[in-house]
Amino acid sequence: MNRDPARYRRLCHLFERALELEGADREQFVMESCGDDSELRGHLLAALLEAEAGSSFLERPWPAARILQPALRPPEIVAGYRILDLLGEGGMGTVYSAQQLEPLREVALKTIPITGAPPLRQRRFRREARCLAKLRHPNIAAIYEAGEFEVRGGRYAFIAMEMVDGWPLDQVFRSRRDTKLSDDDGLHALACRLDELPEWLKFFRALAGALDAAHAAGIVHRDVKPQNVIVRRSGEPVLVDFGIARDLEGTGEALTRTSAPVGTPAYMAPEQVEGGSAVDGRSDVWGVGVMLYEALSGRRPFEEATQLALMESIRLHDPPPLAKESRRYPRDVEAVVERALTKEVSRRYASAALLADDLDALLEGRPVRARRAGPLSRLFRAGRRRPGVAALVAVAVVSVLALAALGGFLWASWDDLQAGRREVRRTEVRRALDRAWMAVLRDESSDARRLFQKLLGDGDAADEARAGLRMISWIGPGAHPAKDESMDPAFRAFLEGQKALESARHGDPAAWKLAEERFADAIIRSVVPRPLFHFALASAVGARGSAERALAAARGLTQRFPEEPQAWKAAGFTVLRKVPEEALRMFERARELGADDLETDHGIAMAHFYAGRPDEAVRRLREIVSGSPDAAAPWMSLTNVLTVLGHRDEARRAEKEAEARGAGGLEWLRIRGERLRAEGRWKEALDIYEKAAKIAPRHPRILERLGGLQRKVGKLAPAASTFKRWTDVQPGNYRSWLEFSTVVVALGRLREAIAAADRALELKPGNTAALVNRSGALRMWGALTSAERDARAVIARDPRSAESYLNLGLIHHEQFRLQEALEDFEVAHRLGALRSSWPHPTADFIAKTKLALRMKVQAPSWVLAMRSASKSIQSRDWAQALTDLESCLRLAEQTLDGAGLMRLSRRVLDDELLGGICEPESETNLPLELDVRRTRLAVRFRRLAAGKNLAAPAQR
Amino acid sequence: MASSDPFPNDAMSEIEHELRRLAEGYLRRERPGHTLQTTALIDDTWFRLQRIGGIRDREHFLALAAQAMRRILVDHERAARRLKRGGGRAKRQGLTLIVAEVSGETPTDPIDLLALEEALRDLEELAPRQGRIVELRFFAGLSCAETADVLEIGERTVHREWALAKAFLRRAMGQP
Repeated sequence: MNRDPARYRRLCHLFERALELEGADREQFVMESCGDDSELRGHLLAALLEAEAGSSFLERPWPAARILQPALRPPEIVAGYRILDLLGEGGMGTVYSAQQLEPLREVALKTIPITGAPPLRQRRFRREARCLAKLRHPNIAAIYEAGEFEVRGGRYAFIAMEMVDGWPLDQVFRSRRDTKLSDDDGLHALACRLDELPEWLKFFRALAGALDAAHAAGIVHRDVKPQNVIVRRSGEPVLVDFGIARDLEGTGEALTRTSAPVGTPAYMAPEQVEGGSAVDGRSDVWGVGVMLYEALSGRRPFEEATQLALMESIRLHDPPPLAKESRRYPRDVEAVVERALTKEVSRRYASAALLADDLDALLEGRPVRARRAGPLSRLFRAGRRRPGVAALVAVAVVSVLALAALGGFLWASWDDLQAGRREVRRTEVRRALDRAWMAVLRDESSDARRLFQKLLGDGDAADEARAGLRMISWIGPGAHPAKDESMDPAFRAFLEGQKALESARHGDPAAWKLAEERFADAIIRSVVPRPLFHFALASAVGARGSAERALAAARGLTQRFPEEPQAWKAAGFTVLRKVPEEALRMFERARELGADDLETDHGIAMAHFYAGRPDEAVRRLREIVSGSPDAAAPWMSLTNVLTVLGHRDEARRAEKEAEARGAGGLEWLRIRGERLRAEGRWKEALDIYEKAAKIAPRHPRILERLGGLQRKVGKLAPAASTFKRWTDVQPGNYRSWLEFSTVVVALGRLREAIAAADRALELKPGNTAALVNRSGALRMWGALTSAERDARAVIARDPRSAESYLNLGLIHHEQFRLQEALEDFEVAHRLGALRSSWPHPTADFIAKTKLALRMKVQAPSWVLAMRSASKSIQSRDWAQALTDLESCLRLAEQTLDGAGLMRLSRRVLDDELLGGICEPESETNLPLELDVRRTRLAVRFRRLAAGKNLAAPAQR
Repeated sequence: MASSDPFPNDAMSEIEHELRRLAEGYLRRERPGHTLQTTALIDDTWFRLQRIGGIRDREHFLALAAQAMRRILVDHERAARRLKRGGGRAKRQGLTLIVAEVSGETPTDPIDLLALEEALRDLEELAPRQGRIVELRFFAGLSCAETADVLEIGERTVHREWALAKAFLRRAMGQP
């Protein structure tokens, strides 16, 4: 057959006919037509097989064939663009210079063939192209339009983007390395200008900012390399060629023909080299790190002779120290590059924003984030390479049960197994830090403060201790940890998680999910793995999620720390309620590993209870309390179990016994009180805290809780005296003054409220809650101008402060500035509507103000006189000002009652109308006659403002 | 090699010269880690050739290019084998390996290019058009539709003849 044309023609003929037949018919045809010519039959069947099923044979063209890919031809017009020329850049597609016809402008047109691309990819391409088109950033090539067109039967996606005037960064790099290469003077000059440390820092800071903006829009670049960074003539970077094109690549059969060769992996992150794992913004951070290294040192961090060796090196080796011609860079610069080039994704900069931040810090001479966890993260890196060292890192957890009630009683510390002395020292520092953090979490801020302060002198720990101290000031009612940008992002996330957990326990079901998310975020963002975060996540999942999820979380924990008894214990508590038998096994394992303690026993007892063996639980709990009669938690469980079982008398007896045997102390009361409070049973919680306050009348945490509960149930006066006591105990704690001022404002004790808010603001300048309180108190007092100043200060910090707008409205209303008042009320109403509760009748205020405006209500004559007085003062007509004030007072006395007069006087004093008379030019004294009038008025207003002489007849 | 050459000689040699330059660079991969931006380069070539004239249209160009590519590829492979036999240090890698490496496949199923060339010549004796189809599909990387355009035949015919050609080549090359 191989040499016989006639036979081959026959084969082709038979093949064509066979193709027209189907199934058995075809089979029969083949058998009959070939007879016993087995060669013909075999060939025919092979051809049919090829036609029907196909094979990979020859289907993948010779790779270089892709250079024959069809493309666009100038000057044809596609999708409204006239193709002008090829820009000589390839990569993932072809880039042309083109002229957009409407609007008429020159663009860079990137085209990617998508014929046969899987629909899912096409959809994703379109979605990302849309996102990208919306993205506007000075350091990202602007995208004008994205779309598709068809030409000569091929479908293409295209992106029309800004023509950037400049050179790719790789050319800039080359140009400074080798002057012979750069025949372009502009390029060489640019390269020389850029080649300074501060210039590069600014350059990459801008680049990181651009990436952050893209990431925020949900777009990962995925191919950050010098070829994709264009340097404008001004020296600014412009990022081009986002990852959307790469989505269309991949293994799709129809696409392989057109897919460009894989680029150099020199800028790929380890996770990209390894493939498989998801690539996110942190891979882009790596790319920036490589370029930064190259910019500063003049060479790439990873250079090998072959691609394979290069990929190996990226995965496994540390780059040589950052240096230029044997000159080292400052330690902070090294640290930033090192952090960006951290192989473990989770320990790299968690976002481009953080990298940008540190580059800023380098430029401004601030300490960088990258150094904060330096020694420890190195320890961990070492641990990854030498598993023996990893054993250093072990965990201890204490009091996990309390977590179920309070959401915060966790203890994490690093154990110092047979390590070198430095490691031991570090471990001690770490442990001290963890102890301090735990105190923060337990709400024992004075302990925490003391612990952190001790660590301030320690070089390794000082930064974190400072962060801790800062955090303490953030914890508490109304605090917003998220606002403190300088806090370690992992801890910030963790604290947000704690806050969410608290709201969740107060009945906000959406908060559970948030708490989980924040804890997960904390884990992702933490520079060193903190068991604390893992436990928090597991417990949040365990408290809320399904049994499966709780189990998964618990197993994750034990897999991560398999030799750690505390992890098994925490896992046990995670699944205690949902999968008690599994919890039992976990507790047993914890005990095998050495956790021979009260909590494990307690957990085992409760597991029996949840597994439906209450008698066994009671037996074990009794055993525990007889052994440790002063431990409050097991007593609490015992009484609860007995109550649930209906043995109320026994429960009461147990309660009495607990109290009698020493467990009835403060801890017992606090656990009970917190549990009731967490369940929203305010009145019962209040009873407990009242008892606790009798035992410890000067305990700040108890006073705080007691006052809060009193206010919650409407006992404002007792709340005020409780908070007053708190301010006596902790005069340096701004929250005591803040809480006190809040209550006394509500009671109308304005003088005290103003003084307390003053004190809070002294301790914590700019605190918005204190400013809100003071603004309200000042307004009620009558000092309208000061009140307005405070309200505006709040709005400047928090533009969503509905209270402040309400206050402004009331101030303006009183000043008869009705139009302004109306606008303020309307803003307050809109903002208030966003709150879950907004007790103020802003709708009424709006209606009344509108009515007044419609009726053209005029300001009373005394208000007009007062306005006239301030105008006269401005024009320094002192005599007229005094006359105005005198008539103001006279008119007011005719219309206003005593209280009104008092407020008027306070307003006059607050506006310093009298003081304003001649004050600025004190060297020229007022004429005697005017001075007498002024003094007389001043005395009158002061007496009226103090509420004296109200009934006395007007003096003239 | 296809004997009948219906194209003007100068255009053919121009294309072949250009392609040879591109493809040789591609094959030698002179700088490790360096990848040719091939799309752009061929487009560039196409634009320049268009200006020289002598080529009717892109289909015409592709038909020429496919032949040229085939020649280049086979020449390269022969040279690589000679070097190997000559005992010189094998600077040029065998194409078989490169094809597998570059296309991202594990070299489990490498194609013996010289065996393919021999079988393809046999096929051209029996059915010249099937030979052209293989040339365009494998050496120029065209799709069936594009191949149909270049040869000015129906797409179904291309599918049919492609299957026949593959069956022939497989058997001729002793592949299962």
